[in-house]
Amino acid sequence: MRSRIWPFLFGVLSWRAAAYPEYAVRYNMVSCTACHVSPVGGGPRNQNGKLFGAHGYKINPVLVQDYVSADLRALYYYPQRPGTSKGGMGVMQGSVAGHVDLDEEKRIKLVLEHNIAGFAAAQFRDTYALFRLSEKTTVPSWLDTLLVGRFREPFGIITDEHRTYTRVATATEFYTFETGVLLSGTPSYQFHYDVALVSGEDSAGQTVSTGQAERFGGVVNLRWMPGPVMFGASGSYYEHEMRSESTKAVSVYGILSIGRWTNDRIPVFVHVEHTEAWGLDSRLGQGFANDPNYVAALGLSESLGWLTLVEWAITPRFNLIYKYDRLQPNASYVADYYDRHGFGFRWDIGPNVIVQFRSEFANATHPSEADSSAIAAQDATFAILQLSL
Amino acid sequence: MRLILILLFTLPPALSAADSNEGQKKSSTCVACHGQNGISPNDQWPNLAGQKKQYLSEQLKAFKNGTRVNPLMSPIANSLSDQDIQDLVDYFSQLKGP
Repeated sequence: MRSRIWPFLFGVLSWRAAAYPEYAVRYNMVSCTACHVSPVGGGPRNQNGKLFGAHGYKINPVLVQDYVSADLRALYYYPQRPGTSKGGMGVMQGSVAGHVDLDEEKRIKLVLEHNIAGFAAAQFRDTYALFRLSEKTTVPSWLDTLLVGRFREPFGIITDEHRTYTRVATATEFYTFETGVLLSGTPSYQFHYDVALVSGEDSAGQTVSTGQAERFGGVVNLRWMPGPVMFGASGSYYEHEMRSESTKAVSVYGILSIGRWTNDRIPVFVHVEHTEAWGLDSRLGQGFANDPNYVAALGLSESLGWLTLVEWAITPRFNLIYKYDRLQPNASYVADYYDRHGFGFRWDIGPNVIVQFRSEFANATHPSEADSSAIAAQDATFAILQLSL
Repeated sequence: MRLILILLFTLPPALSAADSNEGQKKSSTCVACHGQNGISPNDQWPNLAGQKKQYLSEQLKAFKNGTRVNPLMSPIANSLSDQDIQDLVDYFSQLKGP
């Protein structure tokens, strides 16, 4: 696969590392720190996350220590229609992370995650100092965690699902990290919030233009889980140093665990997300839309995104997955959109070893894109092998 | 009179079985970590099968009221009613331990 394909490919294969919010809903964990080090979710996991990720398989105690994490993913990607872009095998990610407590009470933790292989390699990812503000973990507290450093943006559904237009449209792909300060709290077992003030300097990955990289602003994320359903809302606002227009994005989302409702007689999860973004148009030219004139015409448009993801846990280790996502690049032109149906599975074949398979059928209605080689307009099949520590 | 005698002899076991069945239904949350049949797949998380009733009940109530804290157990126990706890205790305590 040509190296320049990768940024294009992953601009559309939006993804967050190993986050499964559906499990959080199933088991009443409104706080992501039940399994992850960061309150945002995704990224390095704690000991509980590693044990849970073993999905009942026997696991060597050495593999569930609380100091080192790793996430290796290999991809086979096969585009089918229209077909000028190349497919093939490659390493998506090879990140390693170290996390160490600085005091006996475990209230200060240093985390460093570095991607040593794959797309956006040689990048620091979750790298921060974490200060636990409450005396005990998991006891509801308005002021729970303070992060200082580089972290994932707490925006929208933090999901492991690939190829979501909502991530592309809101510039919250897996390789997008922000530098700043994050405050999180869990005032009750049903409610969680994240507030971040960030400087986007040098944090936007390899596929963002210079003007976009130099930005600063804030992000707010709220989650409410009154029962087997979680409702969430996120908003972000950024000013740019190199242009006068601001960038804004909002997301409203929900995750339903029918299994929790029915004691797993119907072990189905449903994710729904709607996003709106303003001023993120230039991202559409990075492997998304193929026609530069079309990209330019979008200007600073308002874009709309939708995601529906349904998982059926045939067994606790094997999930059938259906996904529908859609992007309307300009809200004023409702006839122009990309949408996509995806079918496949996720199979835990060993402790922290996952195989994923998807076959996706895409559709683009804009005349210049419908038969183009734009990644987002292509049908594709892919398989992923993921090894986690 | 015959009906009363029949009820006296059949109702207690029937109720007991119903509790245990309820506990089994509700245990789907527990088995994700504590294993099918209450036997944990790892050394970090405890077995529940065959555990003493009083111990199970006290620990679940301690997680629920916050006197014992655990990142995974506290939120789960918080969502359980007293009846749920009783049903789960009945179910796991009667399972055969490892």
